[in-house]
Amino acid sequence: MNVEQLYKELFAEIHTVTESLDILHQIDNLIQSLFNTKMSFQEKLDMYLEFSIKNNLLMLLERSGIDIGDANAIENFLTQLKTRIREIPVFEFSVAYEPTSTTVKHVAEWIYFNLHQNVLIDIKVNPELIGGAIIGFNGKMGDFSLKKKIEERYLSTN
Amino acid sequence: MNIIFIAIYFVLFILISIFAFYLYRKEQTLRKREQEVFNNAQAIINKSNYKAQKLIETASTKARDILDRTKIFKNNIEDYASEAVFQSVEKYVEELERVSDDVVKSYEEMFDDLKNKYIEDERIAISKIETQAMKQIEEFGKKVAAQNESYAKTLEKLAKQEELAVTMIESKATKSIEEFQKSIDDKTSAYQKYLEDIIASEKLSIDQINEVSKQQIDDLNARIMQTITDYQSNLQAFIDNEKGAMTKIEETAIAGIADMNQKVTEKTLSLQQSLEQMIVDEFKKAQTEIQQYKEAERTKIEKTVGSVVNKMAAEILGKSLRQEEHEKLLIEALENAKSQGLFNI
Repeated sequence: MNVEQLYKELFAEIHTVTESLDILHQIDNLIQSLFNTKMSFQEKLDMYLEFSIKNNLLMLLERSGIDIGDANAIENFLTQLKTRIREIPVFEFSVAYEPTSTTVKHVAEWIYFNLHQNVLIDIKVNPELIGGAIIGFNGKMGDFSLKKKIEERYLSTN
Repeated sequence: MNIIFIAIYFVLFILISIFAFYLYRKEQTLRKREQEVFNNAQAIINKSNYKAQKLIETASTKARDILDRTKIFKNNIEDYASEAVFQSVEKYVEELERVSDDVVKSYEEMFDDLKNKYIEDERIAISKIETQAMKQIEEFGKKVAAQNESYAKTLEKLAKQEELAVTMIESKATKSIEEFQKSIDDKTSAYQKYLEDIIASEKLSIDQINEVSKQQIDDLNARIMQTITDYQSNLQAFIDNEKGAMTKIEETAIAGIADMNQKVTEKTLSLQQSLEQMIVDEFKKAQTEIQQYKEAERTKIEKTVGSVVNKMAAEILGKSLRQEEHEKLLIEALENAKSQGLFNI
């Protein structure tokens, strides 16, 4: 697995905009702790990062040839990682109900397998939609809600 | 003694030095051992990391493979599930359509009632206007007739007054003539008496007297007759003049009545026309208002029904859809978005 694939694997763990903000915050904390000599890098990873992110990050560091003893090199790497996270395209999703984390994961998987790229899902809840979703991506919007279908059906019969 | 102590100190120093050297060597050995242990541990960690990585890679590949294979299975399930969801939704939509049809029907019935009521109200209003107009025309006609009657009465009164005036004038004239005749008779008698007195007093000859008297009497009679004729002539002229004035008054009155009748007829016709126009305008206005009202009601009903349908759909479907069905609908939305090219760059 090359570095880019590892990046993809890492980003695939981040599903939503909220999660991305959380990860960015975790990385900031890790950067601040880099020059603390009382703790090893492993301990710092354990303390500040989520398990899934931590493992992917370790593999990325190794494949990128970053010495885990070199705080400056890690700082540069993490700063670049933050930039790349911020550049992940956002997939806007208006739904009728508050989705579970499983549903979010399923949606994210669908997007990953069909669009072959990492995206961040920005979820907004609007119960009036009844079901389905309004989807916005790359400046385009589409209403695929049940409300729209019912309205169309109602209009077509009147 | 001193030498013994010195020797003892020396031996002790040697022993301490040997012990210190031993300790130093021991520490070196332990450090070396520690380094070895650390190196071994590092090696083990690296090895286990590598193994773990390999395991993860293998697991990922396997998982991906399983995921790819299960995706087909999942799609099959989804097809079946989405069909089931669609059928479920279809059922609700049918129910909603039925309910919305009922709502529309009830609104239409309500609207028909309102429309009929509005039309009935308008008819009553127009009928009232017509009745009122007819009443006004009737009242106006009565008023005109009353005025005509009053005018005729006034004319009759005037004619009677004129007749009375003429009678009075004639009576006065007759009386004046009689008085005049009487005064002439009186004067003649007085003059005769005066003459008789003269005759008696002056003792004039009867012939002379007769001659003179006769001439004078003739003159006097002639003058009296002339005066009477003049008076009668003046009186006749006065009567003729009065009669002419009366005729003129009658003619003016008749012309006035005819003119008034014409004006009244024209005014009545004009009023009738304006009333007819007013009724036509009112009817057109009512028709436009009915049309506007109908359109407004239809729009209102459509909006209300749409809102009711949406609200009911939200309430019925929103509550009845299960989490899994919501997820299926989401995946369907994504599939539709993809097929419609929403994700094309």
